[in-house]
Amino acid sequence: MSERLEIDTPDGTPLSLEIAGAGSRSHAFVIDWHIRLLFALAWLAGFGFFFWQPLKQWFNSEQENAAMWPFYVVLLPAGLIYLLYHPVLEILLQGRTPGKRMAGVRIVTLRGETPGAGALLIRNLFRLIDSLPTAYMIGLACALCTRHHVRIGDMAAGTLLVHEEKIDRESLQDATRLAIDSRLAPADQDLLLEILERWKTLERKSRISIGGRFLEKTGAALPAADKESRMEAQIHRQLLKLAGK
Amino acid sequence: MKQENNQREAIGSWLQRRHERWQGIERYLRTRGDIKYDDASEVLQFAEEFRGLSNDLALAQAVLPGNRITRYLETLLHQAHETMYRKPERLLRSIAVIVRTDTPRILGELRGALQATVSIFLCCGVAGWLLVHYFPELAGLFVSEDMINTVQTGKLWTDDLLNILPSSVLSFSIISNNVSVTLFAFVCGCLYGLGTFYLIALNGLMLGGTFAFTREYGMDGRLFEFIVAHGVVELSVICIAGALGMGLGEALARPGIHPRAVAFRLAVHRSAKVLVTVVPFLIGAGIIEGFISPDPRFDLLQRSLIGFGFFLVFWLTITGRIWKLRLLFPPRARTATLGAPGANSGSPA
Repeated sequence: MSERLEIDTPDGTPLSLEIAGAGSRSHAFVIDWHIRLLFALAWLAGFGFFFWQPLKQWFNSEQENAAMWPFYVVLLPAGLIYLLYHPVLEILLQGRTPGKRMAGVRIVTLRGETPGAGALLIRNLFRLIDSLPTAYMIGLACALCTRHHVRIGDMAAGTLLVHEEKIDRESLQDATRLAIDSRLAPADQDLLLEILERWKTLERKSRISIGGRFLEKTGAALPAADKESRMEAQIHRQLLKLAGK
Repeated sequence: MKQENNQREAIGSWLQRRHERWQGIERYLRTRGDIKYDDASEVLQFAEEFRGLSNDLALAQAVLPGNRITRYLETLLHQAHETMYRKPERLLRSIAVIVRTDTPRILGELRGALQATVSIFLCCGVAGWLLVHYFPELAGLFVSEDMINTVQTGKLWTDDLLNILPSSVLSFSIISNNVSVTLFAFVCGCLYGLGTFYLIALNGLMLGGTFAFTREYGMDGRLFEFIVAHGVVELSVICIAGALGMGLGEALARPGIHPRAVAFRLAVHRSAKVLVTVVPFLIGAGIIEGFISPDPRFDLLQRSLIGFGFFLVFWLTITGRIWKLRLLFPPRARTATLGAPGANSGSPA
């Protein structure tokens, strides 16, 4: 059972957000780490290729009057991309980064709000400790041990990572149609749509097992077939019929 | 059966009626970032939509529990709630308040931690000096082999700095190094203050040890000459960061009325404000260290004046006294009061 952050709203409507665990955090971080590394390397490679000679001269020069622009144009921006990726993007994208978006998580305060620039900067400042001794081991250990799965930076800033639920228009229309037409219980309607959405990603045995159990639960007759492929097709057809498709 | 059908019909009609409204709210929230100022009618309309959405969610939670329509409404209401109750963004004003008001107040509250940190730094400086003075073979603990070799040839490692690196690069590397040491001294406070304690103690030992080592070769005066312009502010900022780190340690060790996690969070938020004020001074110190300290054209008097002047500005800023200097910040002319002059004074004519 996933843990949730309960939010008290002034108008009394209960709201809750699903807290992201250490796995989702790591997933987002690995994507972000690769993105910032690739961008920094791309800058180095791109500008280094065009300005290779001046850069070489700058490396070899020991005089004060050596031209400084290769340092400022090639090396400095690459370093800044790598170091400022998280704080800048988290502030601009309101608690998100490309990696967090892909992993479906975002940063919120303990009240469920988008954190301000100050909290996000504090969160990033404590990366100095969380990243020790290497590969964010302290941060990961904290995320595994703490109630809200947070690292030291989050504890300091009063933030945490939550899953960002995105329900697209088509999926909402399906759910609305089911709610109007179907005799299934509301939670079962959701389960049915979930099974159909994931159908393609499941293996044949799982499709038969999960689909069969769902049909059994709803009281529908289980199809009888000698071959697995035929059985799978019949279950799928019955599920689609239940979903009104 | 009939009752069930009626209920389903009611849900169906409610969903069909409200579906478009929800999509409208979603569209509004998506484009919200592009609108800087709303007119009052738009705000009032949004407030009404928000109330409607809140009712819809309450209904969905009752009749469609665990359904994605309910989850969709929860997400939508959460986004709308954020827009509705968002605090105004006044970044520059917040920074001004932090620098002018918060920093002097917080440093006043942390006076004990500040005194302790400076004492640790000075005691360790003296200890390092005595250690290397009486046991010169221990100099290798505090200075690198290259530095020892350079001093043994009668030169200070700072003498040729400008021949190795141009001032701008030197300044840049010094600033980044000092900023990282300062931030590290602060964040290490989360190890119950011990990390900060070791870092400050180590810096004190290194400074004292280095002075004792250069004294052996009669170069301590030249080392002092090198650091006097930038070092006072640089070391002050590191000591302040150390005191802030000690404050974090104290919040964890003695959280008082709050739970430990809350006390830690409050201490971080309080201390980070001081960093906003003091860390920019490291940029000034780095520029002085890159452009003035290694330049032989500046003599001791000039360096001392620069160091003293820079420290004075720093001290006036962190104590808040700079804002009271009428020479720099003349008081604004008061707006005219209503009525004739002296009308409210109550003084006899």
